[in-house]
Amino acid sequence: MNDAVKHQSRTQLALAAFRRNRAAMLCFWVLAVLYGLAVFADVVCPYSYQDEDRDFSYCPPTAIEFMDHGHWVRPFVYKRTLTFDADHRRDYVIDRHTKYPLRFFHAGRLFTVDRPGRLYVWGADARGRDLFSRIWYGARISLSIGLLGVAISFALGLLIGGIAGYYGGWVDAVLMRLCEMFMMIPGFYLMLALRAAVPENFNYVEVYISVVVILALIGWASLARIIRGMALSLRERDYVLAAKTFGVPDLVIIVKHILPQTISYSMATLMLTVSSYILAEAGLSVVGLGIQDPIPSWGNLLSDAMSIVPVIFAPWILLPGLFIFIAVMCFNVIGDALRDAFDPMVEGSSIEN
Amino acid sequence: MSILEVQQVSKYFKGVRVVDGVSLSLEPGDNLAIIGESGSGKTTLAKMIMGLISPDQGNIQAQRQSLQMVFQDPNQSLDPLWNVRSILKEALWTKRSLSASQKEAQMAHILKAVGLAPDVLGRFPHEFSGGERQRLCLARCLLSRPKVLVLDEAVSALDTLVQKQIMDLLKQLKQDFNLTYIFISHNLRLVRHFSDKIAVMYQGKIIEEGAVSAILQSPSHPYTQELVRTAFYRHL
Repeated sequence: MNDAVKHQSRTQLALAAFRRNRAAMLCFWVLAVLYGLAVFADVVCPYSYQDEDRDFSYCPPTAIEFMDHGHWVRPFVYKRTLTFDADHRRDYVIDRHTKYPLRFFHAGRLFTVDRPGRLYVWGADARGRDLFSRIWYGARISLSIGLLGVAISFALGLLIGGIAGYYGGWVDAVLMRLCEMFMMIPGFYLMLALRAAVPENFNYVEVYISVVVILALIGWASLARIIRGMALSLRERDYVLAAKTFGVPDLVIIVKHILPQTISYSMATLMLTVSSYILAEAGLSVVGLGIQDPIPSWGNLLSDAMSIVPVIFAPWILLPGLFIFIAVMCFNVIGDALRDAFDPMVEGSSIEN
Repeated sequence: MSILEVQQVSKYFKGVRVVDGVSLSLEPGDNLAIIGESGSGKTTLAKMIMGLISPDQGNIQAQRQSLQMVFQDPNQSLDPLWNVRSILKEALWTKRSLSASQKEAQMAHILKAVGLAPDVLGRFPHEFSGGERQRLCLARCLLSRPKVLVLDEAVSALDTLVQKQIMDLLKQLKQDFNLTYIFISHNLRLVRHFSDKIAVMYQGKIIEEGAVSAILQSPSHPYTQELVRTAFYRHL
């Protein structure tokens, strides 16, 4: 026996296979950056999410200047003044005589500009709030709501599916009819109905929690059904029978023998579900039932882009949509890659018969 | 004093009587072979003895803790996601009073007894051959200190040579651990030099039972006669 050989579990082998998947690793790092920016939004963003200045409604992105009269200088922005053109449209005129220097590591922020200067990295919204800042503060909600919702619905789905499949019989029948009740109702309408049941005077934390719970309640049923099917066959495996003969309790068998076997399916589904929850939150917020302004989320930021006029004059307000797209796509690619990585048929190991 | 008593046990699956009024009695130190073709109800009987399924009729008297079972397919009887240490530890689940070091000592002792090196503890099932896996299954069973081992086609999935090794090991373990065996097989030749008694199962019933030599020399039931003839007919 070679002592230098490192004995790897199937999970370790699968993760090694995952790491060899370049597209998935790229997506992993993209998501890592998005989550990092969300976590450190207080530092990264030049303004807080509610820092508004109505004089700069739909102000276009501000160019950061590095050169002045052909010389390298400390980065600065020019002053802008709001005027209206002949068609009464907003026009922000750059005043090249007034400069506002960027201030780094000031007031706990990486970079910002002192008033009356304004720095709009990705433009401003209707109330003159910095879209860049609002996107990263919004990422906190949009990116966490999916994870939290998935955590709850997966805990529910795995446990209920595992119990139903393992015990079978009337336990299975009762739990599966319950699942079907949830699955019968079209998802978005169920979401709206559940949201309608939530009191209107909730503060934003309560709304956040209720949206998480609503998402979780929608997602667990379909997962439970599939896990139940897998558990139904896994409970016949000899190692499960062996565990029974050793007196291992049923719940331990379900959690430690049965559910881990569903990992290839559940990991992939987990990622796909995160992305569908991000979309669902966006959906709720776009129709105004999610997180309420001034707290930003990618969904309610995008709801500003619901009418065509602002989109024409301020196309940057579509940016939150781009980030929803990027996040959802990354989760999907990672989900696919995980499924491939955990699938023994793909990676030439001969464990599954 | 019998160690296991099976009385008139029957089991139905969807109206089909899979095990039909089977009675067995096992004395300590017995080595009983249950012979029969696939579908004759051997595994169902074994699972009922182990308490994994309950009989529809009849009853089984045994100390559940004193029974252990080795399964047919060594690829399926070890959880592929668990390493050997956790797999073996599972057998000690009910032994709460043991300290971690006592458990380790017992595992090392048993691994030696089944002919495996102590450094396999960190490895995973997919790193072992079929024979080694069956040794692991045996080690796991022995850890729970059983008196009776139910060996359900325990060597059928192995190569002939490995079969021989495991059979020899089983003989050795029987002595070392004072075991009683129920050796379930479809292969009459395999049990000839292994078991003392044979029970022949056919369509859910035990049609013939007796000492190995008696059964082989003068089988009474037509099915047993056919079985003996095909098993030992040398000019096939």
